[in-house]
Amino acid sequence: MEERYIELMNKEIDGLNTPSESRNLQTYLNSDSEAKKFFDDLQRTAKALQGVEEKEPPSYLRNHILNSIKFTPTTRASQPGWIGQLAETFQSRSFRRYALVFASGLCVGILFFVFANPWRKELTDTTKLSGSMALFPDLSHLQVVDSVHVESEGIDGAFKTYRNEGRIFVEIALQSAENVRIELNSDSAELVFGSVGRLAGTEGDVNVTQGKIIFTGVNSDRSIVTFSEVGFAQRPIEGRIYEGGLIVHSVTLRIK
Amino acid sequence: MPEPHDKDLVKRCLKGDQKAFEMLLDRYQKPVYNVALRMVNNIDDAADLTQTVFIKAYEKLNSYNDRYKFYSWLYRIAVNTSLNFVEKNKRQDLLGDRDVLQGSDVEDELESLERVEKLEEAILELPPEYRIVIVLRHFHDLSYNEMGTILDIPEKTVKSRLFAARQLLKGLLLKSGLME
Repeated sequence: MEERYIELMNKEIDGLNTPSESRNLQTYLNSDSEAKKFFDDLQRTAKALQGVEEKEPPSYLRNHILNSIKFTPTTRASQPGWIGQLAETFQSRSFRRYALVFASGLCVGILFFVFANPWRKELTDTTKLSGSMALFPDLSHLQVVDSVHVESEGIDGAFKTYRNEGRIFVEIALQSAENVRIELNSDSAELVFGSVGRLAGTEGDVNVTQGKIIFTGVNSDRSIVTFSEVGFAQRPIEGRIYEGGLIVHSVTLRIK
Repeated sequence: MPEPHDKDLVKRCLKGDQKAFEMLLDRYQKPVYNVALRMVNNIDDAADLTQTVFIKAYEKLNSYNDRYKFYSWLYRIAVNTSLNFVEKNKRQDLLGDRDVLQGSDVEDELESLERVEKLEEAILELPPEYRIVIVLRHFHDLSYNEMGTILDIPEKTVKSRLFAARQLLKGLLLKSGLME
């Protein structure tokens, strides 16, 4: 299912679609029974949440809070202290004028250094993520659940899975002569994507969509993808490596 | 007589006006308590967290920037306090005893309570960062923009988390039999 329709479905639930978007969604749902079921289930989920009422706080809480606070005036005195005088300086018009000029010059300098500096090295393109970017986690203390080595002409790498306290980690380490595309497919009902940690210097883009994590434009990758379990996740994660649009490796990674 | 605006009450609080703080407390105690309760699912812990939130709010009132809505600022304190608590404790307790019911509607009422309990358990199974977006959107009717301000994340991230959280919750409700 295309991500834009999932967004339209959620916006429909939140009452945020324009009439045109609603019609577009309805046309799509009429043409795809699976999508219609998906949307109906989402609507039922939202409706179920409407049935939960707000609860009253305990009756003692109000007084409890008021008794634990010492109410004293906190506004400044009529004659400001040195902090107040400093604050007034910062607020003066002439200071702000000078500060603006200084900030503008600083911005120009930074922009020159980043974009026009002839001595700068090529910067690695940063990845685009719809999930979250995380530090490269340390998995050395965890037991490996599954490990698959892939090797063919121009490709050498490994996938490993780890499990710890409701989280599943998939470690990818790969070297290839040409740019490849790596896909991880998980069951989104069992595993929720959390983050991708990439070793510094790793190139290429990362895109996350419904249960699918895609690395593109890589020839040297060292990443760890983190998922959270929903209940007790069992279904393995499928990994694929594509070269020139063709699948060159296909792996099945156990998670338990 | 119209109700005083939050910003005016804050100014009065800063001058030591206790009544002004009480008005803010009466306005926001219940929503703050419910944010905490949905995150920790324990009445005593939620009450403690609510107390902590209002104490922090009072202590930090000087730092409140009135460019932002007061309730967004207060909710942020509530969310951060709750998330920190969840992170430290990572436990889930069932809610306390339900009221004993009388009369011929007992069976219907019990079934309804069971459904609510299953729903609350499903919400608790969500990872904290997904749980909070469900709580803020569905129980506090906050917009994506407001949620972004409170959680200090871009609106785009709010949407993707909320959409993922709904799908996850849907899966949990299907598994629990609450939805078929």
